[in-house]
Amino acid sequence: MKIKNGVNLHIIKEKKFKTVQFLIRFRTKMARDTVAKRVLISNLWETANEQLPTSQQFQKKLSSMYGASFATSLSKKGDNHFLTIGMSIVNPKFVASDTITEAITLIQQALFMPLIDKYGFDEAIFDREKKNLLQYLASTREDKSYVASTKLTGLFFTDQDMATPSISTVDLLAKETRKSVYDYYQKMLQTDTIDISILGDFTSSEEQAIIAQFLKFPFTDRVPLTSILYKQDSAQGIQEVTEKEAINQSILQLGYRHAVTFGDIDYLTLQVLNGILGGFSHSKLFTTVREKESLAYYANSRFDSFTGFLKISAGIDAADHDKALILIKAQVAAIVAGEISDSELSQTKNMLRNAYFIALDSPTNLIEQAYIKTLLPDRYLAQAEWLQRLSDVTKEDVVRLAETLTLQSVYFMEGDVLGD
Amino acid sequence: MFLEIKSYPQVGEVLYKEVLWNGLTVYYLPKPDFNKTYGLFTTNFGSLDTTFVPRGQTDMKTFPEGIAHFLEHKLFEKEDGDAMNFFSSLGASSNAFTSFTRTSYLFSTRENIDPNVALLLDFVQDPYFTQASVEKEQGIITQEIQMYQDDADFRLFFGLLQNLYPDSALASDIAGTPQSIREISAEDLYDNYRTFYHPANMTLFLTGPFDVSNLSVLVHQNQADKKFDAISEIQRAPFVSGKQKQSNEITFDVTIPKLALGFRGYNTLPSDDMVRFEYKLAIQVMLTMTLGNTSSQYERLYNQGLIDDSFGFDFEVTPHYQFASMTADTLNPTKLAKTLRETLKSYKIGSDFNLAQLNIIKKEMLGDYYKAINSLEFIANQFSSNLFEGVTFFDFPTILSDLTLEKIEYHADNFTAEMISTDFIMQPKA
Repeated sequence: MKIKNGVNLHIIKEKKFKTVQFLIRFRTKMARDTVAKRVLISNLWETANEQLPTSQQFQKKLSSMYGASFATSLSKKGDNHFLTIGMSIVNPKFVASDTITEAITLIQQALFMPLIDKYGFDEAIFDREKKNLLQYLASTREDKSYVASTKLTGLFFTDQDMATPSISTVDLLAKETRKSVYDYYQKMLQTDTIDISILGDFTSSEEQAIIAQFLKFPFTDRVPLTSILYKQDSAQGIQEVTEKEAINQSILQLGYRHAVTFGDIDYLTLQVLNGILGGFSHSKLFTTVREKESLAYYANSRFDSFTGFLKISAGIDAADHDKALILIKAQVAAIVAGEISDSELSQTKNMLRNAYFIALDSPTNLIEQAYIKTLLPDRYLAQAEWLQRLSDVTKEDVVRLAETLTLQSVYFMEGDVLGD
Repeated sequence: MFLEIKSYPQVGEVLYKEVLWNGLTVYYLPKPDFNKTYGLFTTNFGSLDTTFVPRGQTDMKTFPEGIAHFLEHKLFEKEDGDAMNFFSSLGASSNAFTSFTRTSYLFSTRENIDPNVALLLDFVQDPYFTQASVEKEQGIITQEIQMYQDDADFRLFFGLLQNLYPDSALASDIAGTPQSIREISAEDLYDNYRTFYHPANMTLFLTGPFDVSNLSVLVHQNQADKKFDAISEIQRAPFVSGKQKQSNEITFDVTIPKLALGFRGYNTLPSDDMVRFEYKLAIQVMLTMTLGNTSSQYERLYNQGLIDDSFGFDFEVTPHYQFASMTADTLNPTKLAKTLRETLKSYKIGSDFNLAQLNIIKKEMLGDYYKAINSLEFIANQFSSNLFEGVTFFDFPTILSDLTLEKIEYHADNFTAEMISTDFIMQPKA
């Protein structure tokens, strides 16, 4: 239901979980100059507010609500940047305590009662959180797989906003002040598109109370952001970068452009193509690069249907770079050449169908599905249609789609050679 | 059939258990609202079990480090293909993992429940090892080892274990080293397999929207069709370790220093399972009261910039070893280590060891517990660790609620009186 223009409330009743989940999403266009501000806001939300002015008080409040979790996160979907509060609480029926009302109150305090003075966010807390975040961002370089993925994304997307990591960078964050972030925060509260989702087993009177409580939030009308899908034109040539690092395992990543958008007629074909290529343990990448040639512990592919990006990753020994690269490209070529057995096709469909149903046991996924349905109503596939389209995918469909894959970028993080 | 039925109204669960003629323990936890059926087949055999008397032999024998994990990989390979592939033909995903004390095989599926359960039993109970396939696996596992060697937090934790339990299997990577796995032969795998994969050393846990009696019939028939050795006690070498080592540090590719501080317990563990469970929980609660993010000490250290969100602590208890650990990214590891040592030693006189704080922590842990049991995988894993026979994971709310300050003090004093600490620090490269 609509609370205000651009602010929606989604209530999902589901009996099988012992918890109630809240997800409050703020989204706007991905922009290089606002990402760092949003990262700081996410941190401040979960640290303290006017009612709970120290992090100890904030944490004690959560603990006394039977270990409620309150976690913020940042993500990209298509060309949108999401700033999300996730709360999870034990269903009141297990603990005989009105955890739902308390949780909504806490969300309200976080959003509308930040700890501020006339210059912006509270100085001591802002400085400390900024310093911690800078440290954290600097330390992301220790996560080699994250670094490789960020570098590949940077090579793949020509648009600077799209190439920026969802958690920003040290350089972007360093520029922000408690005033710049607070000024932006006031704007964001008024202009971001907001979706509030709640999933759990509650009674009708509890549902009415939830709605009443959210209706009291001082939101204002705003213009909802309707576009989210992003497509990049095919680029000329392949961007290739190799960087040396003192590591034991080298990481090879390839970025391909694909032509399918979420909900397209070919959407399930893309799922099957990815599954055959590197989505499962029976896939070509896993059985060849790992099982047959023993070059890697992992070799897989994944795709994003909101941006037209398909990524292949493998962790290998530096000495095996050429061999691995040839093998990986050969797996794509094999699909283009129609080398797909009936069992590869049927196994992949079985696995996708199984994964679809198993995901219905995850509260996060149920919220996500309900959200996508309201976000892209024309493109959302209901269960029956999803299953029918999956079953209709033919080998020829997969081949035809594979032909349109274009390699755009290759990133190699080159480490030591074993035994040298 | 002798299905033991236990009802846990507090968590809204009913659990069925049986022990088969061949010694196999089977649990069934029906979850009618779920789509997924999850099966976990576990042997009490992990990376610590490298010295033992192989079944049918008389002398202790030592095998290369990493053999339990190696065997886990190789068990998927069958004469006619890969077991993972058989699962995916049945619409299931499968996987396996090895810890210090256990090896587990699992599948999750919505379709073909019966054939998938049978496949789980069959592939684990029908080994097929050849020298050629053993050699092929060495490349894959070498890459797995190398991947973890690049992970700073993994290195930090094992650096601490090497200081706490030097010259023991606990100090080594569960997967072994690129050198040690090269010494593994197909015959070694068979020796290990015959010893540890006997049904009497294993647990099967099944949960999902199935009919318990039908599934039980299937498990019985499946086992009745197979031959097993007579049940006999496994003779493992006792867990041995040198005395804990002095604190030390290394340089690594990190941005800010990392500290791992460990406290090795030398006190004798309670022999009664219920009391040992309470002991473990009591010390976890004491640590959370004293150092968790609701404590005054956490707030002080956070405000001083000595810790950030990365700060964490844990308490591990097995029949062989017990230790508390604390880890942090910190600009001043020496000062932090000193402060944390003092905090733990004097936990009782700290401002947070009181009833109000205990009640908050109890609420938090109870809530965390309910959240965790949304996950079928989590429940299955808890049940498959046979650390506390006679006490199950569903007894947790009661034991937690019965915990008093006096009980916590009693257990925590036993631990802290005889614990010895050591730390391991990673400094950034110059």
